[in-house]
Amino acid sequence: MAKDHHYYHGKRSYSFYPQDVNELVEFRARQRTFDGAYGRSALGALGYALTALRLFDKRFYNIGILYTVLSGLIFVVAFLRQRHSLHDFADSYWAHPSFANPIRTVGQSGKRVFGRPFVTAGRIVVSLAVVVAAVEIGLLVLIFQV
Amino acid sequence: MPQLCENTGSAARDFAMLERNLLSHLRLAALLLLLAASILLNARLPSSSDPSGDTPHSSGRIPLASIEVAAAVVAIGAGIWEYRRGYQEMQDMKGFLTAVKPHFYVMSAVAVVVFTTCIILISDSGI
Repeated sequence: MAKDHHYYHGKRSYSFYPQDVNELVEFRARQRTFDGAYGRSALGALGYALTALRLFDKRFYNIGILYTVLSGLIFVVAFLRQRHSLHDFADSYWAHPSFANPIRTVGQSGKRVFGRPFVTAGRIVVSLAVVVAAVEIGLLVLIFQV
Repeated sequence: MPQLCENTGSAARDFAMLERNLLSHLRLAALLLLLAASILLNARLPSSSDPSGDTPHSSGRIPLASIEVAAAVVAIGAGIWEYRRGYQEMQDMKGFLTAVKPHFYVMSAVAVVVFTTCIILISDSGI
């Protein structure tokens, strides 16, 4: 079965060039968060794992594992969030019926629209909240076990 | 070498993002090297349960420290590669940055190294 590829103005993602600077700014704004901020958060958690792992008491080993797991999960969430950009500008979503009735921004009627309506980060935020909450509970359990 | 880039659109902000990403890799690499040094020198911060901060000697110290150093080099390499690739693609005005997926795989490997290190440190009390 052939894989269902996305196209952007008729081009594949690796050969796609935005039409003008305004569209490029729209792409880059998302990449600064999805390719940048999420990834840096994951790397930061990995750094905390290393600090806890060796420099402190041996009882911190389990906490090091916990932070490594947290980092891995943030990497996965970052990867999933980054994929939103690939969908947001895909040709197949421009006239998709499920995006027919977005919330209108006051005072922006008639302005240029970039891609499909923006899907806010609700699910991703909930996922991250669940991940961090689980890690914090795990941290408390480990602390009380010592 | 530094280049002059016209600041159209969000060019300066985009290049700054690449710099922040690179700095995150360098910070992680510094911590990996710190971990390697700590393993090699048998040192850790002293605590009430272990005032000396020393740990018993083990033959696994050098291989484990070598793996941490290798992971640090890989993290720096991945950061530089992502920076250079992103830099070029931004200059070329490409819509999507293609370094994301390979970079994700490489950094996942570094995370696996850290996770494995945790397991080894727990299982071998001599390290």
